[in-house]
Amino acid sequence: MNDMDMVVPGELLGARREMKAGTGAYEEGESVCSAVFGRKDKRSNYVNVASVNGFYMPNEGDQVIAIVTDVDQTIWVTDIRAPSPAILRTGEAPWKVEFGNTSHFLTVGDTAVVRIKSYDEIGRIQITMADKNLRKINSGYIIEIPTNKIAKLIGREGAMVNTIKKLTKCRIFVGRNGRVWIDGENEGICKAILAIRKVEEEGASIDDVEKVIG
Amino acid sequence: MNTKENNEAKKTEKGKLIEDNGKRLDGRNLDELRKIQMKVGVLNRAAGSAYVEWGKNKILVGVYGPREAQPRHIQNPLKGIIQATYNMASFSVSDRKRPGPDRRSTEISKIISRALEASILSESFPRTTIDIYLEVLEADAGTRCASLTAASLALADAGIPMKDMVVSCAAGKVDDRVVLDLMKEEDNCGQADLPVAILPKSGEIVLMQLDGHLTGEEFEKAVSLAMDGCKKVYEMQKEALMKSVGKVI
Amino acid sequence: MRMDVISSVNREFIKNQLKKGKRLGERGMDDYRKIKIMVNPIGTAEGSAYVTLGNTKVLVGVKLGVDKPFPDTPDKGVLITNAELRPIASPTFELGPPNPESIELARVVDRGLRESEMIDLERLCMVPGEKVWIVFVDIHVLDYDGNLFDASSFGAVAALINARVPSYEGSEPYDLPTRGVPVSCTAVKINGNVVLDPCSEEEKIADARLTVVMDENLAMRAMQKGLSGKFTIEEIRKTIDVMSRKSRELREIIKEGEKYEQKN
Repeated sequence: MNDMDMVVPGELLGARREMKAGTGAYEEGESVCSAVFGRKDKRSNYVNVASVNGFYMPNEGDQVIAIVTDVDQTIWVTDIRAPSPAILRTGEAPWKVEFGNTSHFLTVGDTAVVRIKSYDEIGRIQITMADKNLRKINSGYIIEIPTNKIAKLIGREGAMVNTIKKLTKCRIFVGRNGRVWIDGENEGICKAILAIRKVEEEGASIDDVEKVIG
Repeated sequence: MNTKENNEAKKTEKGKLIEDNGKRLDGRNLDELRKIQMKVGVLNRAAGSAYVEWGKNKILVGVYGPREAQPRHIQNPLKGIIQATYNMASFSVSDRKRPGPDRRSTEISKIISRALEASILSESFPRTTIDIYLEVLEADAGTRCASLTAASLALADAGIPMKDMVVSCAAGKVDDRVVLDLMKEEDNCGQADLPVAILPKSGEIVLMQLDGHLTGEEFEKAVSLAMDGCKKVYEMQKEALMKSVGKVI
Repeated sequence: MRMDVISSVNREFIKNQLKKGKRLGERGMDDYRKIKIMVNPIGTAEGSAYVTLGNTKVLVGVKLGVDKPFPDTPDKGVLITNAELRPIASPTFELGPPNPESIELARVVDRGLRESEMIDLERLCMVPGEKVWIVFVDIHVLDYDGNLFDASSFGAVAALINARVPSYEGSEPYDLPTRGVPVSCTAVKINGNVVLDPCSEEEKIADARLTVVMDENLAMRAMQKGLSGKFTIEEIRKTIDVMSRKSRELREIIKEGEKYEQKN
């Protein structure tokens, strides 16, 4: 199977006078080159390279699933699968939290659906739970998939994830950081996990998934 | 601790490493690479990984990161820190090696870190580290070159942005002849060993060491051979990456 | 120390599933994950084995050297077991001198090998009081997903039963004399339920752990209870019973190891 669109780091994508470097690419001298191993994607006047294996790079506005790894007097420190931890200040939480009472609301191991708010003055990621649809996760199961498989799991206009939701009777939230929250009856959750793994590892189609869930 | 007797370098009847017909002990020509196999994405926990068999060398590399630099005081607010750690398993050499870092491993770790720094676009990850663990499971000369070559694959597998792949190969002098890719016997009894690493697109050198004796002319020959070797190995790196996603170039 | 936190909802889910006798990945309570053993992949070692147990990957190398025996056993060879939890295997493993985890792993595997008497140490004596063979078993963990005790033990045993004593001062090399194949079985207790061959997620929420090494006659040669939780004697009896049955199957897998072919 030949694929001329797959490029390796350092590979030449084009001339700088014709295009700009998007994500996964960089500019040097007269050229635009790939910075990662992935598929090149030429747009109108820039070129991206979608990395085959990526890690999550947070963007403001992203909804992700965070897991608390440390608790302090006025903040919670969380892991969002990014290169750095994300900070949730008490002011950004949906509860009235008194100084020092933080662990009453969220403790190490707790998870929540949050939004990336901003990067602070020293480059730390700030998250918030202040929107209506953000919440602490109290039940269900969370699995992780590579960020470059998110699109496949969601499917065209949600077709894949909606199929899994329907067949397993589970609620499924796919965080932009590749964490997926599944909630429902335990049996449905197990089937959903199976289906999601199949999509992630084998690139299964909707038919394959229907067969797996049964 | 005594060693196995059958460990001594095999030599031809006349005690040479290169026969009169120009063939080396393993049948190779002077400018021939050993057989190399590469596989990408072999470990589950690591963010990126690669396994390389280069002659009898067996090297496994795992990459973690970019991740928060710990302890805090080592953090660089301008860019990510590249930390490669080269380690030889106790059983990777004929005379068992005591576990733990020794001076040689520490030096090799450093020069490999520096070589990779020349390529990794670390400004995108301030305050983080990219940790590269190089495990030599079996050694047969040229482990630093094989390790660095594997590290570059593991970094690409992890999605770490780089200016270029990094590829490495050694040349040397054996029986007064300049040769490519020394194996163990040649390294032990040879006259010079010159490992080189380059960024293949520009041919710029990011690692170079010498031990032995090379005249100016021999040096030119050796560098040229090593760089040719690097270019061939680079093609194998690309193939290994493509294969990891089921593609053929 | 890098943490690897398991989410509270996942912890609850796994515990609830266990109450119904169900595990992640459709495994039964007593099921082992897929085991593959490759024998003698490392040419520089006198014996070696590469074990994959689910996603856990361990490489064990056996090296032999000649040295003085221990003064209290002048006519016996020496067995030394060492384990390395290299950071390549997990974000929770750090560089540095051996820590309690790697030391416990080495000592438990060693106990299983030693107490099963699988190596006839007397046959490894060349000159009493002066020269004996030292057998080094080095466990190199490459990828961590639970149950390092069993993966390492399988690897050590497979490496030893396929090891060769090298030539020394003109002697002919010969197969390392071993007898029997001890089998290690590890279980963890999570919220009152006991499961065999824990994966890393299960180990993270385990209260207590039990490793038992058994010989062909189902006699127990070594045991280790780990972690800070408790077992009742009934739970231990029941677990040993299950392990006895399992050990037969596991023994066949260890003996069967696939031989590696050096192509280069």
